[in-house]
Parts: sequence; structure tokens; C-alpha cells
Amino acid sequence: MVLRGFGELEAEIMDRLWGWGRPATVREVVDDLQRHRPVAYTTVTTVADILHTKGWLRRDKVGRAWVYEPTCSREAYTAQLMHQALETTPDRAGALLHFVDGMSGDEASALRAALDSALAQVKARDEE
Amino acid sequence: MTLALLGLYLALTGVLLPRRLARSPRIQARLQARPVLGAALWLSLMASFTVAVLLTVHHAVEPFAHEPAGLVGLAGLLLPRAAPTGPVLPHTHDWWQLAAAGTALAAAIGAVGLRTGRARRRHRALLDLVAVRDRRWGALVLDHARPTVYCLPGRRSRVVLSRGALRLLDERQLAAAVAHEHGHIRGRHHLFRLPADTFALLLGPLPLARVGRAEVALLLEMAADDAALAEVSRGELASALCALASGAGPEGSLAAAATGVLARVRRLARPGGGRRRRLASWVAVSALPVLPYLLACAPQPY
Repeated sequence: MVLRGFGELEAEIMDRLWGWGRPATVREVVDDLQRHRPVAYTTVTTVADILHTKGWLRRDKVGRAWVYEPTCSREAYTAQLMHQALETTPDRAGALLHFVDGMSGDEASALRAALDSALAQVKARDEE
Repeated sequence: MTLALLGLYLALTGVLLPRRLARSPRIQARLQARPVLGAALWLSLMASFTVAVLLTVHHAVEPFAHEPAGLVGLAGLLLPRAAPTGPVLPHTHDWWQLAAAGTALAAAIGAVGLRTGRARRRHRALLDLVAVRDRRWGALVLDHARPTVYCLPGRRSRVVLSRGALRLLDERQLAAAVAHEHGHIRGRHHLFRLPADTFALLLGPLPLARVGRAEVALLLEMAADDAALAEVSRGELASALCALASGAGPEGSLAAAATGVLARVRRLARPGGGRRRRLASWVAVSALPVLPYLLACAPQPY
């Protein structure tokens, strides 16, 4: 449970820093979080430190406080995840789907026609 | 004699049978009618092939204690002319040979499992930070225009929708895609894919490895389709598949529309598709790995 709680807090902290789009201190993050629920300053400090160790956040010392900032934009991470998600594995399906991008117009429309007619058959079956 | 028989068995299960299974539309339809059993059959063939390879090595290294043995020896009862001339030695196997072979296989599967698990964990850690929770679908939403639906199976499973998929699919299509992913997670399909992937990694160009791995993946997609049909109609599922046909899933995860979309949509149009489970088929499938042992080493009846 503790671990899961940390995971959520990690996401909340990142969410705020990405949303603000500027470096911020732990104090600012805590103040914003406390508008929704009680959370201890030390807990947020710990989690921010974890995020820094994991490489999600970079920090600079300004005066006596650490100022945190995400190392990458949310969009960059999302693009990275999508890249992994759309990577095709070397099985038959991967090859076929990979094909769709590089297919000639005729081949692509043949596949689409086959899909459409199969779809029509399924729908006819549902109506029976 | 035994070696020749084992060689024949290797050729049959490694090359001929996989090609036949994958090419005949009638056999394909039967396997696809009960996709989990079908996937189990492929895995069992792979296990059987592995056992035959190990026995071949064993017989090549230590031929003396074996001739004639197993069903080869049994043939002597039926054809007296082929009966053994010398005395038949009852032969025992050293336990460490079995243990060593088992350990090596477990290590190979374990290594592939660890690698996939690591990729999955890394993906999930990033996902949990970046994606937005959608309570309605019980899924994580990635803010990306490309439509895709996939899941990270395992103990801390996640279903992922992209913003593009939310925009592309209607309510019922989304329900179908999410139910399909839950089918993967509940059915623990990643545990079926692990041995198939390991086998393919070790024996790449062998037809049983190449065809078998793709077929296992496709049959598991069909099994997840069946699970989704508990919640949506065939038409809803098929239209979701067609809409998503241009997306695929990450390594170590299972995408809703990654594998053989056309085959799956055609299957949904096919009549029947009852999910009967006959015990006999399961027994037959799980007996396959023992077959090469019976051929080569089984104790003599006399």
C-alpha cells in the first residue's frame, strides 16, 4: 500500500510541475497538493528526492531550497511510450501491420475491402 | 534405428506438421474454434520437439545401453524378424542428466521472462507518471493522436488507451477493446507467449518456431476476442478491430488489434464458435511431449 501511495504522489508531483511549466520548490508543490488533501511536507520532499534519483526531475539549489524541474516534457515521454507501443514485433501480425504503411494503394484497398466484407458478414450474423 | 526414428520424429514435428497445421484452412478453423486449446497444442508440439532433441543428443552420446529400446524394441514383438539378436539391457538414466536438461530449459525461459518483465516494468513506471487515469474505463489514457489500445499483462496489469483511440472509437467499440484486453490479462496470455517466444529465439528459422510463435500469438488474440464477446456483440468487436487495424502493441504487451485482424474478423463471421472443452483433447495435447520418450527409451515389455 505504501508503495502504491508513493506511485500516486509521484504522478501528482510530476503532473503539477508539467502543468506549471517552470521550476518549483517542494513548498509550492505541497501548498498546491494540500488544497485537495492533507500531505506532509517531508513526504513530498522524500518523493521529490526519489523522482530526482530516478532521473525524472533535475534540481538546482536556489538560496537554501531545492528547485525542481522535469527533465523531459510530458509530450516527449508520451511519444517515447507510443513509439514502444507501435513497435512491431517480428511475428506475422507485426509484419502484416507494418505492411499497411508501406503498401501500394491497390494492396491497401484490397485489405480494406476484405475487412469491410468480413465486417458486413459479422453484422449480418448479429442480426440473425 | 532409434536415432533414425528420432530424426524422423524431429522432421515431422519441426517442419512438416507445422506447415500442414498452418496451411490447411480446415485444420485452422478447428484450432481457431477453441483457441486456448489450439495455442496449447502448438506449445505442446514445441515441448515435444525439445524432448526429442534432448533424447537424440543422449542417444548419440551413449548409444550402447539403448539399442533396441522403446517402441523400437516393441516392434520386435510384432515382427519377429526384426527382433533383437542380443540380450536387451534394461537401461536406467542418470538423474543428473534429466536435472541438467530441465535446469537449462528453465534458465532459458527464465532469462527471456526476466527481459520481457524488465521492459514491461520500465514501460509501466513511465506510464504511471505520464498517463491520465480514466475511471470510467478503468484504463490509463495517453495523450497521443495515434489510435491504439493495448495492455501490460502480469500482476500489476494496466490497460492503455490513446487519446486517438478515444476519439476514433464509439462507446461500444471502446467497451469491446477494453473487454478484449481484460481477456488477455485474466487469461494470463503472456505466460503462453513466453515459452513460444523463447523457443522462437533459440530455434529461429525452424518452421515450428517461426510459424508456431505467430500462430500462438494469433490464437491468443482470438481467445481474448471470445472473452470480449461476453460483454459486446460480434459486430461491435469486429468494427472496433477494423477501426484499430492500423495500430500495434509494444514488445511485452498485447495490442487489441495487432495480430491478424483479417483472420479474426473472418472468424467472427463464421458460424458456430461454441467454447466446449473436451477433456480428451487436453489429455492428448499434454501427452505429446512424452511421445518421443516412449519412442526411444520406454521400458521393454519383456
